[in-house]
Amino acid sequence: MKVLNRLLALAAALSLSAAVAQGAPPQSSFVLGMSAETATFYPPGTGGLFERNSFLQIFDSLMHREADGTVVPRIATAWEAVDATTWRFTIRQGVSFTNGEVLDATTVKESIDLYRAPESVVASRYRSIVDVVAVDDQTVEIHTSVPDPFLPNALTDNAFILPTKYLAEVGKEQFASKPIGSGPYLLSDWVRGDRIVFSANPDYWNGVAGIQQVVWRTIPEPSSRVAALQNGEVDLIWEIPAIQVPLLERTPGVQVQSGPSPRAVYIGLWPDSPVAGGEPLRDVRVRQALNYAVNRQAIVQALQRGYGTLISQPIPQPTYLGYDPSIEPYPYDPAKAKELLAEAGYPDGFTIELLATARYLTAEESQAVVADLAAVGVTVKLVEVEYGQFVTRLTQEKSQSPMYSLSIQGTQGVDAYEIYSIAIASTGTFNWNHYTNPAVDALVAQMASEFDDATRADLARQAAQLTHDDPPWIFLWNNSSIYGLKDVWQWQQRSDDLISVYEDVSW
Amino acid sequence: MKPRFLVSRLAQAAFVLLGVSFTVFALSHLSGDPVSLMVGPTATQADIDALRRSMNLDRPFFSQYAAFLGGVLRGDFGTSLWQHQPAIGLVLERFPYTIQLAAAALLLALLVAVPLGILSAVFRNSFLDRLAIGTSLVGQSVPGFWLGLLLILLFSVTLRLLPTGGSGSLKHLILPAVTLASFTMGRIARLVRTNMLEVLGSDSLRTARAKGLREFTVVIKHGLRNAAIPIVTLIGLDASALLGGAVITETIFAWPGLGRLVVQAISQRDFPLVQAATLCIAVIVVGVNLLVDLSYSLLDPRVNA
Repeated sequence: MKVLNRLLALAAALSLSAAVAQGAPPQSSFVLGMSAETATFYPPGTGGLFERNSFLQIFDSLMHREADGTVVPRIATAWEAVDATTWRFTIRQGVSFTNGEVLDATTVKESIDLYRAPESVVASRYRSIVDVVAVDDQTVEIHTSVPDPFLPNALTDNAFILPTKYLAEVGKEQFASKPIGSGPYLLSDWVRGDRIVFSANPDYWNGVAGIQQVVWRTIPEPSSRVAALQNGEVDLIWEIPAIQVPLLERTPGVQVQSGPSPRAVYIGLWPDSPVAGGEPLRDVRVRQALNYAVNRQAIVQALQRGYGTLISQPIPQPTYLGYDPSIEPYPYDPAKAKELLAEAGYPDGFTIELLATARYLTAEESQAVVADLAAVGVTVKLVEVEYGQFVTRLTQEKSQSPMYSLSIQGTQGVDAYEIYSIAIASTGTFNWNHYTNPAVDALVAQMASEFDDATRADLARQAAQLTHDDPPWIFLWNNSSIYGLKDVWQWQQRSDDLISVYEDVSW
Repeated sequence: MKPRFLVSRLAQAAFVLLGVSFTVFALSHLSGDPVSLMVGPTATQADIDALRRSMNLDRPFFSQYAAFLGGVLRGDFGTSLWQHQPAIGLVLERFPYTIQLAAAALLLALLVAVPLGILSAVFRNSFLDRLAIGTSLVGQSVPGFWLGLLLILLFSVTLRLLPTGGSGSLKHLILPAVTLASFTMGRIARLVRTNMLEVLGSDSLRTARAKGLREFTVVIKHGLRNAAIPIVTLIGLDASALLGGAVITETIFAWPGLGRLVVQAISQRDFPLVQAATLCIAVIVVGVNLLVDLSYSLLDPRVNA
């Protein structure tokens, strides 16, 4: 089985991690300027990106994905699929938490059980698990209800291993503010809303971090983040508005880094929406026409200053297994759009409602889309609402419009199957437009239990072509993640938008 | 001061707080669902229902409200849905920052605005008057976010004298306090000027001058005291607004005050946190108003009925 190939050479991994640094770092502390902070240090109670990012500093998970995508062992030294529904993990010996509590197979079992409990916010990610068994001190077996090739992905930089004895003793509330982990850093100070201070774990099993202290400063206003970098107060800032990039490029001593974000932005198309006006979307030619009608390249160029890439299929990034690079994004072709609309019986266009929220589509972007659609005769009633309202309208469906702005981001972010299964398959929990394409459904069902990566990638590429031709969405773009960094450091951007200071920063 | 006056004001205050608690509870529960904001794209309806049950959000509205009120009377405002901490603790943690910023801004505003207003009134229509009133108008009209960013550009990025934001030292307080003070400063200066002008021309001041008092005593002791009531009212209004958190200033300067906490709690539909914070802010507003009311009776003995 191909998965067996994933058994990793421990020696190689150890030499890779934490060994990049040479000599003393230029500063003893590394300051992150982030737009928000973690709400909690109780991992089963949250699924947020900022939370996961802060967990990465103080906890370990079974496996870890490095910036270049390589999966390396952490708490698990080896893992293999024993049979179709059993995964076996070998647990590293000699690891303890910073309070001295020993990390063994039981700790791992109890931790994973916390993530799949009904009160866990992330329980749905571990739905396939029926039982976690600590076979002995060093071995954990996870039994799944169906063959689950993706379980190791779900346990990589997720399902962080917690000191379950300490947790049982102090309870969730105290743990959430005074966490104990086994990771490269430990939490040493937290001024909520201002800064979190992490200091190097002096006993880290994987080698003590070269940078003594990591300070996570919360600077919600983008202009202030940029100013803080210009002023030398922070070392790395994230989420820079594209419009501020030229300013940083002129600032000596700092550099701008960017790359694809983990998100694909799109407009969902739902013919059967309870809000009237969606009927034309039943016709595939209409959905294609809408894709031809929007000048996405111009929008990315003008409103995102070029910091974005167009998407041609539901998969956010080319790094996903099963991404098909041969599929081109729909070109901007209003004449073709008009022609398709006329063929479908809408020579004079139609009127339709678009539900939008700034988190996915800024006011300028949605107005540009509306203008492009108007140019081919489609009159869009734009309804812009605050994010909380948007989610309520989307999930309760009664008031979901036939068109809505949204973005998709995998929770594991490595395998195309994940995106197809949640957002495209007719049973998908994130398929808010109830897209149904039996051929795609059949491919997704095959992928679900396909352990061979190459075969699965091939199935995903077939699904990519089918969804491109029978579009469930108006495919929009992937907005780049833009970061600013002080020149004294080197830092490798990750495809999942996380920042692991321990591994990704060098000098 | 008559005790009846105090008792009736306290009773009114309690009634206002009860009203606030219900309004906030109802509005936040009507405005959306925290659970669907929390779960990821893989959650099914069954997952969402289980989570909602575990947070007691599936119970009928009035039973939730009754439980909330009961808790509040015991000092328990519930646990933040997102932060897993007692909501009241999270609010109280932010208060020192809000109080620091509000006090600094108000003090700065008063130190500048009151003398400026008085001087403008005394030297009415002089160059000084025009300059002072012009400046106040500008201070009052300039949007806080714009002024804040300009101050950062000048004092942090260009002159490198002050940090761009954060908290922890007096230096961190300067820029946000100036930004926040500018609006209040303009308002108070203009009000002091108007009221002083009125009082300075009054018969009582003419009498005071006729008695041969020094002009300084006339203006400050007789003039300012008689002009004080509207000024104190305005300061009270601004103080309670400042103590409720200054979202924009806090956001620009990454100041960990109450305003940002509340806005975040609202956008996440973190009901217990929204309720705890709004009730605390309501207590402050009601408390400051009470103090203002009481101060009237000190400033003007006729207000004692």
